[in-house]
Amino acid sequence: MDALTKKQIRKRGRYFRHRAFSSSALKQKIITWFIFILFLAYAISLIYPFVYLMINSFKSPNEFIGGYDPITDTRIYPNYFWFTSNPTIQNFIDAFNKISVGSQETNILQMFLNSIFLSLGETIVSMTFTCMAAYVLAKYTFKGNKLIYTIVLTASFIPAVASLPATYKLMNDLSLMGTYFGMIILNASAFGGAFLYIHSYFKSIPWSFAESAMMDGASDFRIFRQIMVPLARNGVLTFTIIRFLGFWNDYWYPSLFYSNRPTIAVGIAGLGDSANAFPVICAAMVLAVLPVLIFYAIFQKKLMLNTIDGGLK
Amino acid sequence: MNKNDLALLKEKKRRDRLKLIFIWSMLALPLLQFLIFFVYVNLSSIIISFQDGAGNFTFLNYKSFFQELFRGNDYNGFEFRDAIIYSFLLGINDVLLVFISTILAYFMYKKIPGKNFFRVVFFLPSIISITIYVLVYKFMLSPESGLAGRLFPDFGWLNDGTLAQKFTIPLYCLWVGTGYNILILGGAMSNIPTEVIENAKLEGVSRRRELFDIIIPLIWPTLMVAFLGSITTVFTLFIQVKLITNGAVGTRTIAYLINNFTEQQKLNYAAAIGICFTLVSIPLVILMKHLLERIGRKWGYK
Repeated sequence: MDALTKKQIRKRGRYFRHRAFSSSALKQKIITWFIFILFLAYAISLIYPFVYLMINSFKSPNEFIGGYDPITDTRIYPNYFWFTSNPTIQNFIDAFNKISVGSQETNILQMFLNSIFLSLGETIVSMTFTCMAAYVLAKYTFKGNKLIYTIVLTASFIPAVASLPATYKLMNDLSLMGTYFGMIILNASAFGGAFLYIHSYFKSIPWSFAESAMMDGASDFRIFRQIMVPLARNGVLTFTIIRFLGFWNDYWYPSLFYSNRPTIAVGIAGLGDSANAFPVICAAMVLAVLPVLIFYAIFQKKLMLNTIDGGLK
Repeated sequence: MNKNDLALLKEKKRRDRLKLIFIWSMLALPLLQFLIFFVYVNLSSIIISFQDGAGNFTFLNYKSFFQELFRGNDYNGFEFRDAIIYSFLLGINDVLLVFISTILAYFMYKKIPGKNFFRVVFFLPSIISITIYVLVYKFMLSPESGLAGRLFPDFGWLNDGTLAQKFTIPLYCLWVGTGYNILILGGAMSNIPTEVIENAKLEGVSRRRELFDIIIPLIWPTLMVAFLGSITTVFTLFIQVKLITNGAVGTRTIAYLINNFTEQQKLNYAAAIGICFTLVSIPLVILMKHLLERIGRKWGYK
């Protein structure tokens, strides 16, 4: 900053003149507030649907659609948008007891259990596979390492849609359709998404940690399990949460291969064209969203810190 | 001495053997899964696309696909041609989304009031299941009981065959996707060293030039991933179609058709269509990657 060229001095002069004589600062302020209002409207549009669900989940079906009350001989006007004057929790009880999803009958609790069992199993198995493969490929030199790494990375570029019919056939041939085990091994792919990140996580951990343990006679597996994975804990944990959310929210595979036991995501989609009363649907959706929101409230900082601020996608 | 060396060598050999056993036992299950659900499945796609229902060799799947592609069929007219056009429109919509998000992310980065609140809210669609967001979206568009439906009743948002119905899917993608993209791109921007921006300010660089000549080149790797993602959308977008319009004519995409034929158990035919579109998609993605990298090279990326 000591030796300014003439050109730089002239430029700076222009900048300060610019600030002093134009209304540019005001203009910027106006633009900032315009964007603020835009953001606010957008944020409200993302939140409003849930307020709408909340409001309607406490209404009796008659109040929502309106109709005619023969006892008092009055017409009831439908109340779509505003709070109800006499709230009922019957809708939530109904959602817990029995709702129809497409042509099946189930309840929100059952859907929950399906979702939790499925997503937990899928997450644990696939994360274990990812860690195992990523660790060995990152830390050991052996014949075939480079080859496996290249093939696996190239493979992840090919979109999965084309192979869907063959996957369907395979699941059918192995009679894995609609089974828990089938869903888990189908989703146990070690090399998708997080693989690269976990791989580089392991790569960044110095091998000297392992060497001293090896002197003490620790086996390779013990080094992996008790030293390396705990050292990579932050990365592994983040991707475990992301993957769990991915499986929890997944609609595609469960709707094709696990539709006999609807998960939350599949079940909610089926609610749209079911015979349930609208307030019951709203109650079921509120119940489906609440745990996720609680989960989000707890892990929000960690989740956003590692996904967004890390600049990965 | 010699004896000792021999013992050491033996010990080393034993260690190496154990290491090799360890390596391959760690890789066995993940690789087996990969071999079955990726390698075998993709080879099998090629094979079954040349088979009829009974497993005999035939070209008929490809033949009827190309016939329908160029001549249409009796039930749905030019189903494939329409799906290809619509898929590409959705891809362009996604590219547009990235552009809009970049500009909005710039304002987020430039410290807007309530930044933390916006960050938390914009991330919501990534947390909550797409089926829930789609369903509430449909509720909002419903002509009687939805707010947007009430405000614009003449659009007939969800009616089959209307122009408005064609807009519901891109609109949904914009609605849900903008927030996430703002966060990702804003995150990349916040990783830019502050000295760079401070220096630019001292030089008297205008806001527009700051965004287009400084920030965009510096976050190019992230933008590249976002743009490439938009291009793959052309071949993979399907859930939104299935859930919003339930595949009404005019809103079908390539992936929807493949999924639909799979559900109808026309596996051989679906496989043939899948192979054809994969053969188009791979060169297209590589080409786009090459183009984006060339732009990046101008700014000094390797």
